Amino acid sequence: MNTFANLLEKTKEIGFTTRSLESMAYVSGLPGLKPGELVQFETGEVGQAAYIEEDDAEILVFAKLPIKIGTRVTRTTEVTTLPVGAEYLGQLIDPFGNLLDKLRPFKLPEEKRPIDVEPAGIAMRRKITKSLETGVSLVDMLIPLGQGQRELVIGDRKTGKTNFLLQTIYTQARKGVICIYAAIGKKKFDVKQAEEYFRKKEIMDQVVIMAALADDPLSTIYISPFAAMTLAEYFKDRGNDVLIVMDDLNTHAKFYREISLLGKRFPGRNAYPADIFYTHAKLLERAGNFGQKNGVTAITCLPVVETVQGDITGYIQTNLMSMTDGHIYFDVDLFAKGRRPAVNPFLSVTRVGRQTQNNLRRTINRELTSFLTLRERIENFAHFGAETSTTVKNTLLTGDQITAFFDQTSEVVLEINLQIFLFALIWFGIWRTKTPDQLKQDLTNIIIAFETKTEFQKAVAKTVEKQESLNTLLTEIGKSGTKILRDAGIKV
Amino acid sequence: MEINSAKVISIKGQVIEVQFVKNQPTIGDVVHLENDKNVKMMVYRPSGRERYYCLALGGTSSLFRGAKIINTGKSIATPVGEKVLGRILDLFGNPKDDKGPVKTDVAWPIFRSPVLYTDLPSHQEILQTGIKVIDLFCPLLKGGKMGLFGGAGVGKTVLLTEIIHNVVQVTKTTEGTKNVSVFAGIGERSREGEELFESLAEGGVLPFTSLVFGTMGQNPATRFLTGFTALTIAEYFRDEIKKDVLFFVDNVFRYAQAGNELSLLMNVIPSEDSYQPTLSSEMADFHERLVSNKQNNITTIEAIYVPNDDILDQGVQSILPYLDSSLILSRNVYQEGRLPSVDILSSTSSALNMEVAGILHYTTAIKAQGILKQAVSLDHIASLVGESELSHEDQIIYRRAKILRNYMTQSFFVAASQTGRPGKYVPLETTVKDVTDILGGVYDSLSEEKFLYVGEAKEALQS
Amino acid sequence: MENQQDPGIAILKTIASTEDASYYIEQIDRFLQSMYQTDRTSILTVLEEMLPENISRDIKEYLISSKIDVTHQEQVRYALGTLQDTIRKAKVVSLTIAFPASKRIVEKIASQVKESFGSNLLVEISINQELVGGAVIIYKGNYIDLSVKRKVDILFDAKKEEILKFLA
Repeated sequence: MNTFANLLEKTKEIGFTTRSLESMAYVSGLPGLKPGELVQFETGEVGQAAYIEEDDAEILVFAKLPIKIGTRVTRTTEVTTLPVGAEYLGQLIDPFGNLLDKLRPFKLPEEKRPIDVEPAGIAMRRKITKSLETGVSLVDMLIPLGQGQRELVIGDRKTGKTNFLLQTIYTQARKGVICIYAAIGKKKFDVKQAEEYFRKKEIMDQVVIMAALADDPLSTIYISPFAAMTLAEYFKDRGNDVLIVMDDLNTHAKFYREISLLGKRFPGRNAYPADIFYTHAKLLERAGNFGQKNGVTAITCLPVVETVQGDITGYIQTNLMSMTDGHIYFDVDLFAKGRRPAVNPFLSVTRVGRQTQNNLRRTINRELTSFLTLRERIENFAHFGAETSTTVKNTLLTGDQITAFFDQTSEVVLEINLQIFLFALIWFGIWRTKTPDQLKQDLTNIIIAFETKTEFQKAVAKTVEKQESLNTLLTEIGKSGTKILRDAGIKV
Repeated sequence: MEINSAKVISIKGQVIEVQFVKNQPTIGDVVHLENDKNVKMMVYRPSGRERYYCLALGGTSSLFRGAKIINTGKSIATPVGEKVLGRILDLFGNPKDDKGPVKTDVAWPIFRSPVLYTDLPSHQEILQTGIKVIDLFCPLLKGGKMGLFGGAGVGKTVLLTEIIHNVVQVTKTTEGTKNVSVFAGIGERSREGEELFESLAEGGVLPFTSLVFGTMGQNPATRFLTGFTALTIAEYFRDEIKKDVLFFVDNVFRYAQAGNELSLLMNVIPSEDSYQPTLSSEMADFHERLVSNKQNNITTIEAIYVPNDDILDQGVQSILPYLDSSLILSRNVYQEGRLPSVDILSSTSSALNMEVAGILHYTTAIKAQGILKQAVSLDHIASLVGESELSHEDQIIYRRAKILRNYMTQSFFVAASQTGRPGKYVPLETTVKDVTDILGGVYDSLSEEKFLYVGEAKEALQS
Repeated sequence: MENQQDPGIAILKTIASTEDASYYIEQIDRFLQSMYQTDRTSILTVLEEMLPENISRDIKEYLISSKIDVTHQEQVRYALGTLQDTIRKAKVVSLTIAFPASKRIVEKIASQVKESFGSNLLVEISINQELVGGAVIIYKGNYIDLSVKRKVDILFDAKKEEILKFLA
């Protein structure tokens, strides 16, 4: 081991492994060892110093098999770093910057950044003013997000969270935002699926996938979100807006808990380590909207957390809700009813998204939200079989049309102008006499047409962009709505 | 090796064990690395013979076993006085706002014993917030302490910010500059810190406010000590500059949490809910300094996070004994779309009595609470058999309760950009009158929807 | 800091290597086991009979300066247990050398180490022929390579260019 001998010569300090567990080792010696420093075992493994006690030091080892007792170890005088560079765009990497595909030759970037850094202070933060489109109309219209926002994506397993994230990445990548997908403790299959989605949609060269797979060492899984955030900060400092998805943080918390308990840390609440809040907070605080020399750049963060049976009052879940600027709640009941995406707008929150919307979108948002609230109430009422007046009937009908409009498969993303245009058409009553299924069919045709016909795109943009409020938009739709559709070859 | 020097024995996160061979330190002393004055620690607790646990006040990446430590003999002191107004400081009193150094020649140590006052303020009065549900049911006592309790995402910070807006900006115009405000941001988001700073500046009250921040991304020692710096600044204003102080904290729970993180590193056997056994005394150390004297008072409003939505959590419960008013925010009310999402029947205030609030306010509040309580049971019946099956009297009560509940919602100034509704300030007198009218049946003919997010009740007549 | 009052330290001064230390501990164990069969008056006699002369003499010294009542079995047992602990916990300077060393050489090295670094240290010798000569020393986690092999490696690295040109 060449590096080992060199380091030994350079640092003149040696240690011996006295105890060993999966992903952890205790070493004697190494008198000058500093917390967070990387150490090199003579058998090739690398570790990071955690707690340093009087007689031995606890090392987080980045290897699966326990280190043999007696193995010699030496200091490196460096902290854990990640190579960073634009070369990573389009690649799948591990949290150390190596390609997942070990067989391909790849030159690691020169620049290296430590992965554990202090988040920027208050003076660097800027108010969130630009909107972040996801391409999913339910979210963009009812739970709008902003660039630099930290929005938690929360819900039971298999309720469509990952699909939503992929759609958002697709929408943002098309706008030139750098997207980092951090897969934390995921199966190879899931990571492959994400990669295939990006390739199919031809956005892979705007994306970096950083994966710590489920069978990687605990320690590697533990550092993966920090490494991913470090890469995000690199791009941000270069002036790029970044979207980073962390999928998912309760897996991360569980693995960190495992490490802590093995390390005989006193368990805190729910047996999680006492600093689990700090660990996640320090991570998430590194995302936000920042003012730098070259302007204002944002790292938007979408962390994912799972719930069990819809319970959002869990410890990790509520922790993360306190750190984020809102949450998008994927409701298992809505999923069962067939709604896609299964987002419950009443239980979702966006703390800073609405301020990024222009007047038009804001009026639509308000109008739509109060309509949906009203509709909920009426639906509950209607269960009693009481007589329904015409107003009630109309509300229910429009409600069904809106639901049909929000129904969006993972293949489809809608540009915001198109979303507004379609909403206005529905609101105006173009499909008043048709069934929701017919509406859906028409919508599909419109969306297909929109993808390819630039004249159509321009016409829609022109109609929408000048409007100040929902009312003026509706007037305009009344005048030219059907004509625009006809010009695009769509019969309604 | 110098006989005098102290050295590092172990490093566990922010807790550093240091051995002092000669010249034992005093608790609270600031020590630093011999080779780097900027790597500072504070002596916190003895850990063995001639050994002490010290809290690292910054990063620990340059520490190692055997590193030599020098004791400054001084404790952490913060600049105090006029010059800290309009500034953002950290726990050392260092500026964090890019506006240059804080030019003051007075610095007070952040750990001080609470001064015992033999004379308590004799006159108790309510400090109005302009927020109907607070002023009526859970009024704020001038010189007292109010807690805003809530889980994640139910509106504590928004409510606190609105109170700051109403109490600080409104009193600025009516009482001149008799008040100063101190804001302690413990363990919260940097974004919110920045937004608060901006909104205070826009509202013109920044020159009367001092902000101390230890955000959630900072180490536990920083989060633990930040509150004390703010306390000291407040005490100086009360005692030396002789002003009334409005003291805001967001979020006191994070202080307990930081203490928890630190204590587990010092091998302290955990107590209930895994908290540190010293939790109660830590809360006392903090709250007992927020007292008033005959001349000047400190009015405290603190946001308190409820982890896991579990209000019985020991960290949360340890704060209750120090509060005069407890406002409980509920997720259920939040999900029903009523903001502020106050659980009126669980909120209490010692200011709600006849002497302080006056007969009219008191009796109105009690009556209103009574109706709301009745409505809870009527709710159950109505949801089963329908409202029309209730007796005539019950129907009236039920309807008035629903109007009352909706009346208690309010549009906030600070949320206007999010909700699109302009904020409303409602003086206490108006609130009491409106509620009296509602209970008296004046608005019986209106549907309860009309009362959502109104300011005064008569606005419901207009829509 | 060295506590000159601890009588165990005096014993450490007389022990050279970790091998010797193991032997010492073993001897004490032997004695402790047999102590059950003796009556209290003859502990010292048994000591003299069982153990090698120098060890039994040192241990007698040790018991006296520890102010142990030698008729009291428990006290003796305790004191000897403490002595074993002191020996086990002694700090070790580990030397790796190129050739097997005779006992005389080991003692010479030990006395040099004790003179330079402290008389209560023990020496641990291991052999690695690849070093060719010199030694690699490890003490309290500090590592220094004074072997001939290392010097040759350094020389090679420095003269690499020259040597390659020469061989080409």
